[in-house]
Order: sequence, then structure tokens, then C-alpha cells
Amino acid sequence: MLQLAAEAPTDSGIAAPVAAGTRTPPYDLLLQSDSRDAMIPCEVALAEPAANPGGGGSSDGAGGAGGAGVGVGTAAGGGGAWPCVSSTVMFARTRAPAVLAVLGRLKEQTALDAAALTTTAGAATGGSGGGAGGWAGGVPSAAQTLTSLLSAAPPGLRWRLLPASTFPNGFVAFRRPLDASWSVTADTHPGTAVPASVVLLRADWTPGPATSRYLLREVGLWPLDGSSLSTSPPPPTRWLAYGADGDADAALHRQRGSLRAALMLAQLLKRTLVLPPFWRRTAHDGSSRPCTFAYLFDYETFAQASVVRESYPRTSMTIMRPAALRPQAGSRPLMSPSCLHHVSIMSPSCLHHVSIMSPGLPVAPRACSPRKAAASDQVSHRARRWLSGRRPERRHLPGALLQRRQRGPAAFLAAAA
Amino acid sequence: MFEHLYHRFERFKDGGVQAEFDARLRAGLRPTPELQVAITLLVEALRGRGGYNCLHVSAADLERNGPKVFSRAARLISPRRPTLLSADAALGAKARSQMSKHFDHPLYTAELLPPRQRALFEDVEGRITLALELVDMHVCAAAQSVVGNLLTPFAQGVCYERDGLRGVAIAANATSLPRCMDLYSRSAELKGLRWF
Repeated sequence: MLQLAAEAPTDSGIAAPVAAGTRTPPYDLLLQSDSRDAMIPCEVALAEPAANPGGGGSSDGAGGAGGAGVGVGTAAGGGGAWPCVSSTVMFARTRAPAVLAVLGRLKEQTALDAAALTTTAGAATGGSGGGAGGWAGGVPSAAQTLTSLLSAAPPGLRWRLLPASTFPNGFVAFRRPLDASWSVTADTHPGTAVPASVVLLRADWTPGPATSRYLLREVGLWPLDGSSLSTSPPPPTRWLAYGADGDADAALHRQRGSLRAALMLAQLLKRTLVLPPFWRRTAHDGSSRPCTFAYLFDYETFAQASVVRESYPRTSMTIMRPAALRPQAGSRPLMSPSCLHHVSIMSPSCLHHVSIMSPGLPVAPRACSPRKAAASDQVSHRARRWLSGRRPERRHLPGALLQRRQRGPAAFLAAAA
Repeated sequence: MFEHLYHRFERFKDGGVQAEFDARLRAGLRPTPELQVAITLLVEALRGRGGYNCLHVSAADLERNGPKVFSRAARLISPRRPTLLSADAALGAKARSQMSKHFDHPLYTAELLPPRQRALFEDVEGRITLALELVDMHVCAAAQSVVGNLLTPFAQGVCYERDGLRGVAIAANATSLPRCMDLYSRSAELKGLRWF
């Protein structure tokens, strides 16, 4: 592992000089940065949040090179203004004396962190989301210790940061993506898929497990619901999807308004709403880029407030992450990305996908008036009329697609899995 | 299908269902914790310095009415109090100059944020994202008085968040915040308007 990682770093990290032509692995210690700029090992908070003692320093001890996971961290679940690390991933030569010295020092500090956490536990209640951290004044955290240890350049220790493009932390991956390499690709979910070159992504910098799951699903690193690896119940079969145009509808009020209207329609029609891609800036501020819901809004709160129900399928208003509709690796795409999140009964190219997703009512019809806001009874009336009456849009459906529609989404998803 | 749907489908027929939905949405649609921290810090800092008002003007307001916008706003809220200028679009130096002429202590969200937090509001290419607008909206909503063009979506978003804060204050028996004021003192156009 060390060999593999040692070849990866670029010059962007902080590196100790390495003698040319050395036959030994060039670095004793390789760390994954946990800072927002990925330029330092750990971002030490101004007001250090409550500590999470983390995993402790395990090492294999047998070989010359081994992976050592050391909890240096803080801030599981937030607490302070700037949670720093929950655990630093590092690859170390565990027999190198300098490495052992650093790990030993970190282990001591981790124990101090645990003690500090215990003594301040009473004051640091309500840890999730923005509460003041319970860090005892004057006690350095393990994060501070790690930073100071490495910035002091211990003699004999050759270390550097792993490149953020292949070993990104959560902030670099989810909050502020590296746009150059994390670009939109045609065959993945726009803007939210990680490049294939990523080796290890840390799911930190998220406020809670629901957000982590959501973000990991979005980047394709979480088992699909209904797959053999997933423990979630099978997904529901009635969907509602929508999409916003990144050029015309990326304004904040339009994104919020569209989401609200879609949630209302999902509740009215008793469907599962597929969260669309959101946009992180408007077109007039430069080209708009897609992002996840969690870029702007608190997914954790969204899920807990019963607006989102992650248990299927009895609730009338549920959210399914788009990733659940994506194919697994190696299988053919269920549908093109443009159709997945942009559903329109007026668009023949997307209609058959909609029909596959929703065998009963393919999509909610347009509201009656283009100018005046529509009420729920108008929409219901329109839906009934649309269902019982002529459906000119279905003329666009070829016979083969109509047969596939009859199979329903569950069968279709199972076939693709 | 949902293009522009936000202004086509806005209410349930049943008022109770609508109220329940609105309550859940208000509780559930909050800024991310990082942004919420920034909002809280800004609001507490501004309130700690004696409070502040918020003025929203749109680019269209400035284009049509020019400096009259600020002179009119200065009659509705005290020009001597610190006043946050919020806008859904970047305002140029001219607008800031006019603001300074009519208000003694103009404030701008982008300048109040410490450089350390810039990573939350701009991408790696240095371009501002919608996160700043979201923070601006919430900071404006928490002001002592809010004046703006209430027919604009940004101001309506501010008023929606402000109504939430007012509800919390009422529930806690605290001093309630006054409602949003329209810059042009319109009433007929605003009647029955639903904030969001």
C-alpha cells in the first residue's frame, strides 16, 4: 500500500526532500489531508470542537511497511465552527523510528483528548450541528499535535500529503469539488460522480450519517437500494422526477420553489420524489455547475423533519436518491442522464423512460393555467382526466417500449442489477 | 415538466394539509450546518454591535429608479443604524456609492464574512456560489427591520425566513420582529401573496 501511495503524490503537498535514487520507499509517512485546501495535514480549528478519540494507533508491526490508522481527531458530528478531522488516514512505515515517535506522541495526545472530552462532556451537550465545542482551554488537540509535530519537521521523518485528486477528503469531494478533474461526464450523474482515479475518499465533513449516505450514493459509492449489498428495503415503485435547467432555472428561488412544488405533487400523487441535481451558481455568475442537495441545504434536517422519509414505501412523500436509479458497474444504463432528471410528458425522447419508471400514471400532467397558480384539486382533476381520456403523448411510444413498461420498474431495476 | 412549476402549483385545497406541509418544509429546508454556523456568527456579531436593518434592492430597482431607491428606503428605516444591503445580484460600485450617501453604516454580507470562510462560498475557480445568496437571505431575514421590493423572489424568500423567525419568537414569548416592509408601500399587489 505504501508503495502504491508513494508513487502518487504530486508536488502540491508539503514534502520533505527525498534523496534521488533511493531503493527504499521514499516516504515514511503519507497522510491524507483533512483541510479544506488540502495543503496541510489537518485544519486546526480556531475554537477546537469536541474530541473524538478515534481508532487508536493500530499497526501491523510485522512488515516494514504497513497501514496505520490513527485517530487524531475531533468533531464527529460537528460541534465547533470548523470541525477539523474525525480520523486521519495515513500510510506509514511502522518500523521507522521517526514514525514510531510521531505515532506514539499522537497516541498520548489521543488519550488526553479522551480525558478532555470526558471532563467537558457535561458542557458539550448537543454535539451535532454548531454547538460550542467542549474543548478544555489550553489543552492541545490531537489535530494540533499532529500539525505541530509535522511542521516541526522531525529529523529522519520523510513525509508528505497524499494528493487530493486521488485521496480527497470530504470537503474537497463534496463541498468544494476539484472542478478540473471532477468534471461532468456523459455516462455518470452530472457533476456528482467521482473520477475513476480516486483511490480513497473520506466521508467526513458531513453533519451526520444520513448526509453521508446520501452523498456517497450520489457519487456511486454506496450500495443501491434493492441490490444484494444493500440492507435497505426495496425501493418503491411509483416515482416522480423532475429536473431544472442549469441555465434558466438555477436561481436560488427557482430551485427552492421547484423543490417545494415537487414535494407537494409527490404528496398529492403519493409518489416517491427523486431528488434532482441542484445548481451551485447561476449562469450569469459563470457556467452553472450541478451539485447535490447537501451543498446548500441540510440533508440531515431534511430527512428528520419528515419531509423526507427514507423508509419505503408506505409514506406518501418520500425521497429516493437518483443514485438508486443508476445502473451498477458493468450494466447498461437504465436511462440516459438527461432523461433521468428531466421528465416531460411533452418530450417524446424521455417519455418511455417515464413510463418505465411509473407504470400507472406516467407523470403528473401540467397544471391548468400557465399564469395562475394551480391548486391540488386542479391537478387531481387534470390527472384523472389525463388517465381516463386520450393520451396523445403515448403515440410516441414504440411497441417494444410499451411492453417494457408493462413489466414495471421493479423488474426493470432487477434486470439491470 | 417542472420547469417553472414553482409558480403553477402552490397550494393544497385542504388548508390543514397545506399547513402541515408548510410546517414540515419550514423545519426541513435549512441551510447546511456550515452555512448555518456562518449565519449565526454574522447575526450574533451584528446584533452584538447594536443591531442592524436590512435593505433589499434588485438590479431592476436600481435601473429604473436609481438613487431614489435609497432615499426612499432611508425614510422607512433609520439611516443611522447599520444597514445591510442585500441583493440577488452583484451590485456595482455605483450602487454602493449611493448606499453610502444615504446610510451612515452600510454593510455587505460578502465583506462581513472572514476570509477563512470564503471556501464555503466560492468554488476552486474563485467564483461565488449560491451559498452566499442563501446566507445573505438568512442574515437579512434576522435584521431588526427589513425593507425591500417584496415582489421580487429574493425578498419573498427573506420574508419567508423572517416569518419563521417571527413564529419562533412568538412561541418563545420573546420580542417579535416586525414584518417585512415594501419599499414602494404597495398593498394591493401584495395581498394574499404567499412567501417562499
